[in-house]
Amino acid sequence: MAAENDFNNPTPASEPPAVEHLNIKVTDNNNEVFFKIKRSTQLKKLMDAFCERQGKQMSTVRFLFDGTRVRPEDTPDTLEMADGDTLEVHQEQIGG
Amino acid sequence: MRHELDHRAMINKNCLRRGCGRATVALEELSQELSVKKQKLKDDNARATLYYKLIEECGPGDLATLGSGNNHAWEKILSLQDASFLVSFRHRQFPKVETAARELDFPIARLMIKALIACGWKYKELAGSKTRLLEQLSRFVDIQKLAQGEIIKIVNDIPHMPPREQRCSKSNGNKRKSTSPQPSTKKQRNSMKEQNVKFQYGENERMGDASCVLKYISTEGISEPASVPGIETTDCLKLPTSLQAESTTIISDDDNVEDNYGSNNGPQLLMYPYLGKKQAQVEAQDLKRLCNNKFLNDNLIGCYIRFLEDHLDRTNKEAANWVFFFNTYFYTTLTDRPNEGPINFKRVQNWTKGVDIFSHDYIVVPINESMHWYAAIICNLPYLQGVSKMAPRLNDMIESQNKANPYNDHPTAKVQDPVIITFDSLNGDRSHTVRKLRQYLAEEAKSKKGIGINTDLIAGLKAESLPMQSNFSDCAISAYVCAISLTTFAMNKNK
Repeated sequence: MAAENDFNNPTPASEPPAVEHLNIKVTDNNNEVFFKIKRSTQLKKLMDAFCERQGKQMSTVRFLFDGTRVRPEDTPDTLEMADGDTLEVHQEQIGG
Repeated sequence: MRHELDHRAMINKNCLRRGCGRATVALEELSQELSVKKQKLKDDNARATLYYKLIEECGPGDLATLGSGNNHAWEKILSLQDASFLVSFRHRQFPKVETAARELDFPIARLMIKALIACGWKYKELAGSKTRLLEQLSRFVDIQKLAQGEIIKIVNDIPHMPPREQRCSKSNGNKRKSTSPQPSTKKQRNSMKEQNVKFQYGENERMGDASCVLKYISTEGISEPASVPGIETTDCLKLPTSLQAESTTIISDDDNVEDNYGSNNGPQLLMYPYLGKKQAQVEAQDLKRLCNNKFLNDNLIGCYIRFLEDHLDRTNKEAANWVFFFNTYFYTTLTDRPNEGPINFKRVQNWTKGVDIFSHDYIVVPINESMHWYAAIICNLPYLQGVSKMAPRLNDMIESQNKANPYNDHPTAKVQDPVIITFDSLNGDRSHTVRKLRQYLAEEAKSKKGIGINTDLIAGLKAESLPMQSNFSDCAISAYVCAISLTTFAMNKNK
């Protein structure tokens, strides 16, 4: 299953004109969802949207980019993401 | 830096003491007394007023984060109204800076008081004084104790400051200050430095275990959850309730005003390290898992592993270069329903981007499998045949050899032989884990270094005489202990 989501936020006038959108694949190994996101948009929005779409709670999933945990306030810029990169979604791990 | 402020604050204070209505007269008097140009004094006074405003709006910590001194632009440009605007702007845009400033509040308040003392004020005079500065400081410092010569934080106790030698009267003190301000500046700078250092690292430099982390949180107010290893029978770890509220790093509350997707009441996150790369995240609700008989989750394990890594890096940079930590998702991803072959190498291929794992003596792999935590440590990869030609380091593996007994298929393991040791408090058979990690290493060598390695040379060991878990919920703690002993071992290796 695939879907397109576009995060077009009102941009302040002072924003540099070179706004670039990236296509990011988010996958939990069962589902793949594609997002289009601005380089400067916080990934929190993407995470929230993914969780909402999959009916999951944010606290039960972890987003990883190249094995590194993504923080909600990270942006594609801070993670140096490129077009077509993949975010992996992992379930919470519990053990005793 | 602080000296400037205190100097000015002193002057201003003096004016106020002589009566607010006669401030101008006092200013002139003072300028004669100190033989300083009147204009300069006025400037100083104006700046001091600005500082006051800032302190009133938030706290002394802000001055430290903004930095005070003659050449800062913000001092010259800011008007009083702007000051409050600045503060509210920062509140919205940079919550982290704000949190940091709040943490500095008390130390700065203490520094200011110490500076006043150094200028010749007496503790009692300060405590009795009703000026704006003292009123504001009393929000952070216990005034009654101050009268007795102690500087005590309102909520928490701080180390007692020995009362300084009482100086002469205040006007003399002023003169002295104006003629020779250098010594006290230096002193303040030093103590400032000390405090900063203490803030960043807390007290865990001195202690090696995780209990200090808890202490670290409660004393420094920096958010970081942790569990204490070895706790089996104690009651639920009691985190102060205030801690949870105060130390939570609030994130992502800025541009969410027009955020249609997420709610603002998302999970509250604690970050470790407070600043820096690869922050581990723990949610407030995870802290409940630190209670007795609760299972730990990846956030807590991840945070602790990150703590060990960070601690090793701070205390022994050289040893830190030998040890590589995977996160808890690595093994899960590697073994998660592979499409082809026994492992999912492609999915973790990029995880070691920029890292040559074959140059690390120890690779820690925390593993979560079937609701159970254990750890595998891959040792001595640099000495694997064909991986590198580097001369073997003087390596003393006796300690780990004593701990580990070989699996049957590799009855003799020598000191520098590459080996994968599993640390499992259920003492289960983990040969499949060893097998998968060997396959991973082979793939990794092929893809990153373009060489084939003979994985038969990598032995598999099971650590024995580990503390075994007597219940179903302590395995993660044992895994912690292993990780701790490894880092300690790595640190002592070259001594």
